[in-house]
Amino acid sequence: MNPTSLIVYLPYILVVLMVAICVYGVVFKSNIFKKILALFFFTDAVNLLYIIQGYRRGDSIPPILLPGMGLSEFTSRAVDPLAHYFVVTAVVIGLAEIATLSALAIYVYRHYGTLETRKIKELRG
Amino acid sequence: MIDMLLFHAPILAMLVGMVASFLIIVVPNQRVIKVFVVSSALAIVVLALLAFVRVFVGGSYVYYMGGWPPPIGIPYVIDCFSAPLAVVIAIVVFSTMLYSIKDTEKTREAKWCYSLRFLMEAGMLGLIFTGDVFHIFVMLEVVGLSAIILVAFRKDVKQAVEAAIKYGIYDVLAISIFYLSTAMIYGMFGSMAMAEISAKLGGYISPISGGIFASPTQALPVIATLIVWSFAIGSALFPLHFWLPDAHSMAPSALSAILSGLIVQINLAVLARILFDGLRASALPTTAIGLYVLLVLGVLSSVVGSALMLVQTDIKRLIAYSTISNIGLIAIGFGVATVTSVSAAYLHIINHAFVKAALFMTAGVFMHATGSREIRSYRGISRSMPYATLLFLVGALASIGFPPLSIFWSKLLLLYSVVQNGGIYSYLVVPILVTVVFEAVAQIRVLAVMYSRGGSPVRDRPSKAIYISIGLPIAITVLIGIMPSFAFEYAGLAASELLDFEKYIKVVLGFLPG
Amino acid sequence: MKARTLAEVLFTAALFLVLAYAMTGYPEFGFVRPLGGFFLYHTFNEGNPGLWSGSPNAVTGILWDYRGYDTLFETMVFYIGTVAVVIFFERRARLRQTRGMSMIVSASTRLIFIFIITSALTITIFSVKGSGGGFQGGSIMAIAYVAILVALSKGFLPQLKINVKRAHLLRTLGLTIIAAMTLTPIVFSIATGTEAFALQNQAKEWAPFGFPAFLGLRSLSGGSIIPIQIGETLFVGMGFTIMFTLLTLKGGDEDGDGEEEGGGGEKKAGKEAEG
Repeated sequence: MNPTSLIVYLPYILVVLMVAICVYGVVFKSNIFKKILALFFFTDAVNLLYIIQGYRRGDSIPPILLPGMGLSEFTSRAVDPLAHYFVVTAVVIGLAEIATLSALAIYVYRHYGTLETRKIKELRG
Repeated sequence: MIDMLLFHAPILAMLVGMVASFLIIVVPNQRVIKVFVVSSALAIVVLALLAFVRVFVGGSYVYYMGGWPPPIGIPYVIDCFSAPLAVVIAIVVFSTMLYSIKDTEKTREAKWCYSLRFLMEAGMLGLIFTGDVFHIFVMLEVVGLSAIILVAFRKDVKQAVEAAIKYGIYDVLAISIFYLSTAMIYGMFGSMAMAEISAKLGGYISPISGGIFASPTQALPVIATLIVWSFAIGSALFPLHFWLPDAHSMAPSALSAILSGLIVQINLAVLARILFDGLRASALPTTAIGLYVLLVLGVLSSVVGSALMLVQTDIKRLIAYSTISNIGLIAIGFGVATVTSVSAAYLHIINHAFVKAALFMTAGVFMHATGSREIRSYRGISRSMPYATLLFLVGALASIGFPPLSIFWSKLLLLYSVVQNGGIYSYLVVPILVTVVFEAVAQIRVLAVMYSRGGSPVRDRPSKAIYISIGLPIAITVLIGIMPSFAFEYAGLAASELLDFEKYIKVVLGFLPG
Repeated sequence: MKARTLAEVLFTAALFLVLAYAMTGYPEFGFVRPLGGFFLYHTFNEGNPGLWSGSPNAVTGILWDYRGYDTLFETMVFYIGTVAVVIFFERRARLRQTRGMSMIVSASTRLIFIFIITSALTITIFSVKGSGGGFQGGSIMAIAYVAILVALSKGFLPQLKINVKRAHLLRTLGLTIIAAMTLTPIVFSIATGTEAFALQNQAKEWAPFGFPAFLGLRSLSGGSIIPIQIGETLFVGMGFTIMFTLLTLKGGDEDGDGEEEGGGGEKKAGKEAEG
């Protein structure tokens, strides 16, 4: 692998590193709040992957057809709207996830007085 | 007009669930809520049956959401594989709605419970019908998040909240992993429709979305493994099963029936759809790795799940571990990937859904009557509640695989399929038989306690609605059991349709490229 | 303990390497895939209205036309999020009115209210032309509530006639608008026997049903997108308002319940506003 290809793949590699760290956080960290944060960043990492894949290098514009712009120019300059759409959807979904999980975490704290999974062991698993 | 109604029936079923979910919260009157819940659930059953009739008479078809054909929009594929599962979902959800209809009198919050359950039903219908990978992600969220909240619905019970947060974190992790794989699929194929992905793997170059953009040998095995990993968490295959017994035993009984009877299996059915129809796992060596992983996990979870059944003292945990072992059997069926084995797995999904729903609801009746979850406190309960115990007896015998009840036939078909496949697959007979024996021992132990002498008086008896709600799935179990030929024939049809990715492409895209 | 840490690190490193191996098979980033190009070319191509969404903003076009069914259920996922907060934090307690607002405060508050809601609706309606959308508009609408809360206090809420029940009704109204727009083509199709699909916006060759592309005015393009977006704004705005109301109700109403919980709730509200 030569240095130029490393630079080309750097965004992908960073996304993948973020994903690996987030999976580590969810699976191995013992604090529920840290797990929830890791999940949140996981979604963000994937959103980043979408954005990278939908990006157009060079003279790019947002995918909104403004008055006075020709269709062919718009098509050849705008970034990928589909990738943006996926991210918009996932952001809203991520919000709902966070609301649900943190509401639950507050209740766990009320019942157990802690968020450490090692100390929350009423169930046998 | 009537053919248009049939054409729209599966989508209407989903939309009825969705509309019911938000209209129910503004219904002021308890009585009206009851009527509303039962009639909406019944309407979904009728619409799902109409969709089934449409497929049975007119063959498989595709529904373009918003009028946009596949690479542009979301296709819904209504075929022999998905339509019967929709009927199963509608019937099981209907009977659980009926089962918990009295809850409306108890708490003010019950309407939220119904609201989420309708949404969950719509989500499950969407999961099995959809032909779009990103849409599966959205639907997994709908089903998963509502299930998480419902597990913690009794929020003042310590254990319920603990089970819910455990389930929540791992389910959301599973969905996030799936989201990662959708991003990788979009980067690689430039399209989200499973039919297009499958066609592109066969060398098709779409006029709208182009060909393949990444190297298939590098990325495809990873994508397949990620998808299997994600769904293995969602459907609780062995090393990733830890959340299931807690969540399924701590949830309200009506919900346990849905979680255990439907959600985990719908997860596996969707996985099978992605692997066979989307990624051509039965024909392509690069994605077949997903099937091997599924097979290994299936063997492990069937044996371990049934072995752990032997040491349970809590009735709902026992039934939950039984789910793990049965999920393992279904995974084995999909992993072997012949028409016979897939049809066995498919039949097992349907049979197990009804049996497991009935068992959980009966367990709920016992728990309510005695105020205890421990199996030993049900000593001699057959005297005080003979009908409920009879229903449990039929359910438990069916779950063992006692002939001629329905699960007997699917387990037999599974055994036959691995033997028929020969080679190294024939050794799979050992784990399957071990599972059957362990499960039989565990269930008979429970039945022995229930039918023994002695026993204490019960607090109250179940209402008629509860008997109907448990009797319905049990009746279907018996019915499938005494008339297996129709079920065999139909499961064979569904399995061959699932495995035949070329037919799938033809149905969805309207033509067969190449 | 040491072996455990080693296993954790090895697992993470293995995951990273496998994923990185897969990603190096991908092409250089920085080009738009043909499907994205299709949406760019067709979303407001007046030469070919058979394939357009009528929205110059391609993302909005995808959002409620090309992939509208996704968004419909994404909306329902947000609904589930609000239900979670309602189930876990619902209180029977009513707000006590602390003291009345002076005329000036009351009038200026109303003015700010009107201003914020107008800007929310503007962002919603012109999402087909510029950036924005139902969700964004709804979030801004919810800011009206948060602004009042931060600038004044909880005691003023009764005077503004904000309560959870009313918000629920308005939210259901928003969802009903969306559902009605979804079901209209189906009802049309069943009634007339022609092909039309759920959430269909514009007429197509294979499905002749369509909403008018320009809602009376030339500048209001997008057909069914704008009514749906208004429904979404109402739904999201009221959903956030319910969330914030329930989360902020806690500290003040049950005096015994402790201050630290109220603080926790508000922190959470802040976090969600950022999200």
